Amino acid sequence: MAEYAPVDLTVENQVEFELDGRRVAAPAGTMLADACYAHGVEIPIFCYEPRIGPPIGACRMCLVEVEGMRGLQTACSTPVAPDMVVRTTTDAVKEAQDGVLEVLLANHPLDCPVCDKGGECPLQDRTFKFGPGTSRYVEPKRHQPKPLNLSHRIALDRERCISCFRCVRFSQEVAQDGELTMQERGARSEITTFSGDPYRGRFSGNIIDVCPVGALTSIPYRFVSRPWDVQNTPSVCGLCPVGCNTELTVREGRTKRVTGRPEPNPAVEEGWLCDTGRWAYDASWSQARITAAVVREATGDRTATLEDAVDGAAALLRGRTAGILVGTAATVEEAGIAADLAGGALPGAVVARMGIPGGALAPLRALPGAQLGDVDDADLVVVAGGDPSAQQPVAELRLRKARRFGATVTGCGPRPHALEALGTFIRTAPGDLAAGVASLAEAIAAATRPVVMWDEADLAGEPAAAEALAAAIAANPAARQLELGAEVNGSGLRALGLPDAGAVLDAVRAGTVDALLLVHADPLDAPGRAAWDAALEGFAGPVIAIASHADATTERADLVLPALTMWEQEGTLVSMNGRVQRLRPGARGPEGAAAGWELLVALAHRLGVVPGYRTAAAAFRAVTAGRPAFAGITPEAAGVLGVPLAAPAQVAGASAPPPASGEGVPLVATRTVYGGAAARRSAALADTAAPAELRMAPDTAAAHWVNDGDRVVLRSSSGESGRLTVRVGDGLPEGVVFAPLGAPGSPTEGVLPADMAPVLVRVARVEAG
Amino acid sequence: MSIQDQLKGFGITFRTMLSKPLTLGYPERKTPVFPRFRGRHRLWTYDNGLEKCVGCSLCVAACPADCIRVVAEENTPQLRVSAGERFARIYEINMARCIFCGYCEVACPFDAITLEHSYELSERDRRELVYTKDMLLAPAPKQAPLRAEGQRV
Amino acid sequence: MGTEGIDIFTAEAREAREAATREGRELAETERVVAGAEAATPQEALARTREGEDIAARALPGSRDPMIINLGPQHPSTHGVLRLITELDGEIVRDVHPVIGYLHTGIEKQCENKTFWQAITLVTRMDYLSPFFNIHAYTASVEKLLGLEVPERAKWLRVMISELNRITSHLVWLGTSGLELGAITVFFYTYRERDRALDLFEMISGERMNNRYFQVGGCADDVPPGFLGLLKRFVDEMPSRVDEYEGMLSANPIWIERTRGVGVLPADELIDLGITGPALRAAGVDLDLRKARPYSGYEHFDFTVPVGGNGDAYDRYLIRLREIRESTRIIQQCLDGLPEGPHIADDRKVVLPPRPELATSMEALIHHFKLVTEGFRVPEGEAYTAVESPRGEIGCYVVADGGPKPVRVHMRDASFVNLQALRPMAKDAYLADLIAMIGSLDNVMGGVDR
Repeated sequence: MAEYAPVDLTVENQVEFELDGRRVAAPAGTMLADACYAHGVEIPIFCYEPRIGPPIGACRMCLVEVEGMRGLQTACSTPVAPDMVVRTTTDAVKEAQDGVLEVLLANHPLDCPVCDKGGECPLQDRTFKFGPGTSRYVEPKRHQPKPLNLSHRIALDRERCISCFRCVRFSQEVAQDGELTMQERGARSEITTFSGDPYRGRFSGNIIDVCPVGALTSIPYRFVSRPWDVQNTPSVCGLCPVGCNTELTVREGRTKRVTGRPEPNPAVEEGWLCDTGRWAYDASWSQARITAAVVREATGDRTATLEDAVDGAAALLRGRTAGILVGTAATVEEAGIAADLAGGALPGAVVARMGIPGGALAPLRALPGAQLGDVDDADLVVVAGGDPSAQQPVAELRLRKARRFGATVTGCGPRPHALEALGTFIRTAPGDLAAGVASLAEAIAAATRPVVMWDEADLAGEPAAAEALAAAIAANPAARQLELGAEVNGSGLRALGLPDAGAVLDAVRAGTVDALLLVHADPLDAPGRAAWDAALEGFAGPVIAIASHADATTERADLVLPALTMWEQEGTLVSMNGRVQRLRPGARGPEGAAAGWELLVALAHRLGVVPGYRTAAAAFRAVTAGRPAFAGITPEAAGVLGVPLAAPAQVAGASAPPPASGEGVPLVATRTVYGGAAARRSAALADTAAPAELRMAPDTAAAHWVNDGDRVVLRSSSGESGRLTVRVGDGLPEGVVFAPLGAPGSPTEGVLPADMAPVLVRVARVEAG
Repeated sequence: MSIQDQLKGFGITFRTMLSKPLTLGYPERKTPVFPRFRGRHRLWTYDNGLEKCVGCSLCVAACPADCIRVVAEENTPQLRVSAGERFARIYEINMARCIFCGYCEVACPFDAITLEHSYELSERDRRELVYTKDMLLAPAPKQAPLRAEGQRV
Repeated sequence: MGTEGIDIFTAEAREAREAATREGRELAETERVVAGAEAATPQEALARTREGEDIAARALPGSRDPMIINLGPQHPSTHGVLRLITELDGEIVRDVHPVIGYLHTGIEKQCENKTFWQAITLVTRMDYLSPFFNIHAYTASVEKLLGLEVPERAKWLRVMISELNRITSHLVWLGTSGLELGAITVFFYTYRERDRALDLFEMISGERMNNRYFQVGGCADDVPPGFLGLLKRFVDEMPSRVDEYEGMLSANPIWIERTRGVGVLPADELIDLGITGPALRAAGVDLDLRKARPYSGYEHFDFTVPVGGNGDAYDRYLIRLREIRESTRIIQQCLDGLPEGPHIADDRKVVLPPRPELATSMEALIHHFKLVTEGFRVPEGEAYTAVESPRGEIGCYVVADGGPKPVRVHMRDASFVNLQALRPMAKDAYLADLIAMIGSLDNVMGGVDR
């Protein structure tokens, strides 16, 4: 159970003590509650949550008898001591447990039948296991209006709160957003935000998971199902490259809830999820979901059965040389089978992946890598470029935890971000990350266990900085690097050896391919969009898209095969730092859709080549055979918690991008997971959608003759953006403009080149604010 | 066989002819049931029209035959269906699966569902045996008589 | 056919085997029967044919080759769905192979997916003529694992209802056995009384069959008003009804012809086969768990265990009728001395809290919620408890791992074990007597197959 800290009973020099008459041992410093749990004695707890921080002993549920100590002691905050004599089942302890529960339940409303927590509620469980069966309390209970909306996604029922402070401590110590607090005293105590405004946090949903009662519940999941109505499936989040381990709650074939796992993965997310990962699941049945195959004909669109559509796709592809473009969210199986098609069913096909080419990153990736869990033990954490809180949200919690544990946090980068408050950060000019890296080299060399987090997109665009950073890390043998990747399965696609999208783009331009197969790929919604737009304009061959949601590219496709989403299909994703983890099918998905890998296998069958695999696991084995990065990795080995790649996922043949040319002001684009594309499709997250804004300092705005609120477009050598609203803000660096990637309509993507190289943009006002 | 034996036999026959038959002329007459008899389910409302069922699904958990399906929803000021915070938007019982154990009735904390006395439940199509909430809220179309106090066993 | 030498099977059997070999498939179920019950494949059957000389030598002098006739599973006298592959020599049964499984419900396995509480509704359906005995054995095992003491009143109620159930079960047996042997009248008489007993079941438990009245810790409800009076009237009348049945059958020459000396097995062989219940007691073995290992307070009751001497179908008939009389005596004693007190144990961790408390007590609501949704947890261990059912020892073996669902629930069902006696009994008997034997063993296929 996640509520107790794991105890390593194999280490040397353990402290021996007596537990209920047994002689047992635990490492020094272990709290009694954890040590007892490790030895099979469950001490009831409510407020204790080792992931949140040190115990506070607020709930008094864990009282035990310790010989020689006056009164009962809280097991959660008493460390084991040599020859301590602990009793957990005496009459005094039982009386204390009954008493604590009686008081907790005295004001607890008779809500179990209507409460969402019912059936998975620690208060219920512990009352049932440790508490009295009858009540003496007959007086009227405290009543308060309910529920309150703590935010758009979290309902607060104050009557049910037992004042354990877990949520407040999460907000203060783990997420450090400082929003939640306990107001009033005694029976009137209540959880609220300082300001009384809705709780705004990127990790707010975790307070639902840690709440030991039904005081904090998820509004999208409100009254949706009961624990006995659902199946829980451990899976992985496929919305950002962190690869958080999740648990899908599925009822009647639909994903109804995503939570952190009860047994978290300590190497990745430690049970914490970002709000996007937690609530984006309703995108799987959003308006944009493709539920049936679409065939575009001269007479108009028509829907088709899956069988007919795959037949049609095979007919369109037969005898042609295809370009196959694999999107960054495609699983290893999908990408691998697509690559396999080139060898058999579609001879001569050109297969490529979307995403950053990253030719300059090879030396960095070759260095010893760290898992996110290793950040806890570091004494120095360096963040080179990027904005982890926007792009790899849960990495932020790891950084904050490392800081809490005493690590020094430092870094450099072109954009201001939330983590700068954790330590010394050097603001570098766009294109000059190398200077920032150079100033960090000394600190890296001096640290004993440094972990260097580096941003894939920023360093791919600046080869000099990448080279300097690699040298700095290599100089300290104890140093490890941790890639802050840009794409969901970028590592997986690289590990399969797929070249970057330029290969297909060139082939389309040159006319060497006469059909295009897109596997979860949406080049018209990604950096480099302008180039793809132009290339597709002149492309005469058929375009077949395998996609789960309608987007700019499926609008242009001649045939759309509906695919399953990450909540519904089986597959393998490789996280940014090379952790191979498995998606497990939870929900069923629309009737007319099939998993992408199944569609590709069916296509191969129709094209006359029968692949040697029929299951996702067999496909994984087949497509990863002979790939050094996947050596020894099988679906079984990946298990529930995943395994790191055997070798770094390197790319071959990609060239480093040229420095920014042309004229204008440098643009710093930030990919946002919180409020990004997945959030746009989710009704629950609608209010978080990143606004299409161009942010700049006042002087910069003045230099470009724009004011706050103006609508502008950007132009660069790569293309033109959509409309952005100018936001002038203090505290932003001069001479640079900032825009988000993944805002509604993808306005920024148009000005960026496909390789995310630094660009200079000209700002043109189209409408005054 | 002597004449006495025959007379004895006919005697029994005539005596039985005059006694009240033990059989019942079903379906014109229906076997009465005892108060505890568990037949067709019924969902109840309060006098003010609000449903007693809050869609808590305890009956679903208790059901050993997995024949109940409940999908709950939140009451709103515009649509107030039940007395609690939530109500059952869908409440279905698959009577083809039901074993009439009455555990749903035992589990229900609000006395919202009970097993009533009606026992004539056959249909020509098994799909008609999936009873919806509206069907369960209405009284049984075919009522069974309740056995009067002291009626002979 | 057989006279030609090694082929001891019929031409039909040979054809079936050859057809299967030609088509390169396994024998179909029906073909396997004609080709020999144990032969699973054509190859095996042919191999047996080659070894056929011994079997031919085993045949009785002067007799013809056995004819294989399939009796059941849809035969009205096989008590449900028992299938018997009989090897007939004219009218003489040379051998009989009972084939079971046609009523396999998977209840035992299904119990592993249900909570201890829910499983009650399943085990009651095993031997559907003695539902109360099934639950009694099951709940007693669970109570043993829990270390739960059942209140005195609940024990007496259990005895009372169990004995009423014994009466109904014997009445069904008597009525249907009469039918099978040509005595139709008795069926109407016994079902008249049985229906009244079922009315009583309905009155106390709400169900006429498959009752889930016994719960872990006691009984689901106390007796309803008026129940005891009606029950008293029933048991007062019952002995005179038994007189009626006896008047119809005991001295009936046809009944005597059909049952006396039929299905006799020596007592030691019955013991070796594990036979219990009236079938064993008819052979003179005085074994009744109510006396041998009293449970649920049977030690408080004064009753005798009828024992026979010949061990034939007639003795079994007599014993069952006398058991009905003894049961009425026990029920009378229950009615006279039913102790006051709770009908179910007051253990909040196992037994549902009283309903009125749900509206006021948080503790009670939580316990109710957890008991209903998750069920009580039973400490790790295993327990076997047996009760004396109308057919003999019904024992329930329950394994718990500390969780809310049983790891294993196994019924030692009397019908299943007693069925073993059929083969030795039926050897060299008349086919017509085979029907009387099946009837006299009183097998309930729901209990056999579970």
